[in-house]
Amino acid sequence: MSRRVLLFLVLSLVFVSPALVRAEEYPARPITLINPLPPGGTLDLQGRAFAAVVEKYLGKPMVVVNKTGAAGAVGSLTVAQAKPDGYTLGLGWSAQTALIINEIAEGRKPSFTTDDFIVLGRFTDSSPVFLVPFNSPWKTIQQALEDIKAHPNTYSFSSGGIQSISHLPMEALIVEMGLKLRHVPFQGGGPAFTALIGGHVQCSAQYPGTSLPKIKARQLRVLASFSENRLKNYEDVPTFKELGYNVFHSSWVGMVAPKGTPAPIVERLRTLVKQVTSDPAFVDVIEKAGDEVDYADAETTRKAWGKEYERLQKLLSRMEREKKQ
Amino acid sequence: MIDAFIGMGQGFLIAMTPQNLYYCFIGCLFGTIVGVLPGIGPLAGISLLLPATFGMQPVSALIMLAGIYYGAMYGGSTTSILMNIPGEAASVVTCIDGYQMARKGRAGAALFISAWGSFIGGNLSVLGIALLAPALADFAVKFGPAEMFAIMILAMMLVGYVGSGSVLKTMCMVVLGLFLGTIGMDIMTGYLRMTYGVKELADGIGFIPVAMGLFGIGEILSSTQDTLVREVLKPKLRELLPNREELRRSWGPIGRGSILGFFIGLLPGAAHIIAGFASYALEKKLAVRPEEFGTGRIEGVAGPETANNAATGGAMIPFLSLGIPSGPATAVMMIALLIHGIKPGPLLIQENPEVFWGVIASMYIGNVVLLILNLPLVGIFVNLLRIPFRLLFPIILTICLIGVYSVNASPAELWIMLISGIVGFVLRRFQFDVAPLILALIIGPMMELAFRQSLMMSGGSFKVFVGSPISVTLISVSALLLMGSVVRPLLAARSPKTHL
Repeated sequence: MSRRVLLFLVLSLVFVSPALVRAEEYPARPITLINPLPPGGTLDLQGRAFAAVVEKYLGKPMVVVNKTGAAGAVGSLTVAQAKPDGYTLGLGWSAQTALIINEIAEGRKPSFTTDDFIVLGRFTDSSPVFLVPFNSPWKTIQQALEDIKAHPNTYSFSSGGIQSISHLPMEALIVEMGLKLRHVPFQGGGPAFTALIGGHVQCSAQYPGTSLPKIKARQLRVLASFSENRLKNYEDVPTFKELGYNVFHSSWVGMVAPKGTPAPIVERLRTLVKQVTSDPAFVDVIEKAGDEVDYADAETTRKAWGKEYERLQKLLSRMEREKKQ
Repeated sequence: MIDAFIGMGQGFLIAMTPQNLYYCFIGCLFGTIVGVLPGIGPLAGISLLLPATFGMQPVSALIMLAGIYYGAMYGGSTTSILMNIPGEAASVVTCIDGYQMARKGRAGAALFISAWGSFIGGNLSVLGIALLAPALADFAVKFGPAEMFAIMILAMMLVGYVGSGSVLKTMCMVVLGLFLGTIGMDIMTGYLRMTYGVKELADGIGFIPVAMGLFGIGEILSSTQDTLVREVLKPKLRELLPNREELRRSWGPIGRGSILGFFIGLLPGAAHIIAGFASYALEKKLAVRPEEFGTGRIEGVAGPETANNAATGGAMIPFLSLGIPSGPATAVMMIALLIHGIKPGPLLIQENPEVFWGVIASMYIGNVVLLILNLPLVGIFVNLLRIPFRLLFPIILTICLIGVYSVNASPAELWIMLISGIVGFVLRRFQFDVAPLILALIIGPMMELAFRQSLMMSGGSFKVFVGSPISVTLISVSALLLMGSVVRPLLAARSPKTHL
């Protein structure tokens, strides 16, 4: 054996072995969970509640880092480009899909696509509700829809931002029903609620958890839900579907890893999602915030993501067409 | 009213438990630290300690996080006064007169008054919450986009009063600030404006790195040009305290700043920043010799430092009684409550009185803690000026870099800060006052958003801006101010002739 070969072997051992050892001992250090949205939202709540339980199962803590910017594009790109070693993970959610579709629609090459991520599992999947101020003349959804139809371009709705998870459901309704309703985007869900409670806009689609206390306090009234079936805590609120309108929206939150993460680590993390989402500590936080844990394994989540991609693509292209008319 | 007193009593019982006193102290201490360190503000501090609250009682968690929030307002003035570097975005205007006071050897007095004003402002605003919270919550939701636009118009009018240079130079700075505010992703449409393909610019130019750069880095660069050796002051105890004249002149600004700050605090957005400079503008407007502002007037420190503290109290109202956080810092506090299953909202005061009153009572205690904590620190901080500048400035530069990076973990913001520093240095050479630039950068995007949202709601009709009593009043005040500043010089120009 020549010296050179020996040197090569020794060197390769030096470089390769830490990787092998690390894979066996994963995780050897704290894991970073990137949240591409600012603190204070649903995503942040779920991410932090998840991270708080992780140490119990992995023996190492998980730290949530808010890497915000450009409606989540900056953080998502950070996850996509992270070293695929299982130490940098990200939160995945519906509006990410819209970001990608939008980039393509604008004629740009998206800096990341759904293929850049390995899905690890879903925490929750929730549908928004259609809200009006408590003193609104609209008492039923039919009444509201008729009035909006009869007075095109008169009423407006608030959302937490363009193509956010509170904008897309309203667009689904608008496109399906052929409504003319003005969109007033705000910076985040908080100001969108303020505008609705203050009567500056006439309606809004918001999520059940944050809406419930305001409904109970008789500041807001709920007329319908965008869900498949009636929602928990909203049992007497009809869904658009059951009223015969083909309007549906749901928004998921889950965890993703960058493409190229080694299979054993991916397996470990997929199990972790399952473990944490059935841990009482996590379930408790989500339920107290008014949401429901709806775990789905990686394969189901991936499929649902694909379906959502198609649905949003159709919606956004129809929105584009409407705008041009 | 009676309910409020019973509630407060209950609150004190909760806030005075050893455990909660401890968390209150930790929050205040941590808040002072993040306030003192340039770049790191209350948001970073609260986010950092949020995970630690998961295992706590919800009241304790909120007591600690709120302590960081108002504690940061105490610390924020320190570096502004000593080194002309805003320790916290809300202390930008404190730099103007505070630093000049320090150069005259009155750093101790400025720090003392700033802590004292913060204490008064903090306490009065807590009293405001206890007595007025439910009524004011309803008032806060009346501020829709049109009303916000009217506020922003008024704010823009006030920016003019802040600048100490010539009108033309102030206008230049305002326009530059407004321009910088248009860079980045448009919130209404998602289009990228003036980013030229630079992805990092999609988020726009943040005012924190710009403020740190223009003031802090600019100051450091300027100091290299100073030919005169800076006097290292050896403060005696008597010089640490404000003299009778300074105390007398501070009462008015502190009183007005408390009320102004509290009400501005109710508004969404960067309330504590706007509160500070609105108070500065007010004091300058009321002053007998406004031209002395910018040369180290105690009023220019007392007013803003009181107002930004009072604003933190006001900002707690929409959060506690509506469940609507008015800014990112209160948004994180809301998460802390949600994680414990407590939903801030109109029913909080009935469903969780221990949280509502406990936190309010703790804010009283916290303000006392902060005063006790900060007054002895005045002596220590002033002694920092004894460190030779060649040693002090590299340390400050490092702290600025770490501080700015810690906010968004964005290398782009470091570049923005350094470039702003060079720009600030050049502007300083030509006697431009950079404060109006930063204020325009903060107000510009908010004003644009409110303007477009209003027109979106009204379908393009400008009537929306005079659609409510609130906006009519605000716009009238702005119009009067504008007329005043046009008419007064004309009258002044004419009056000598009449005397002849």
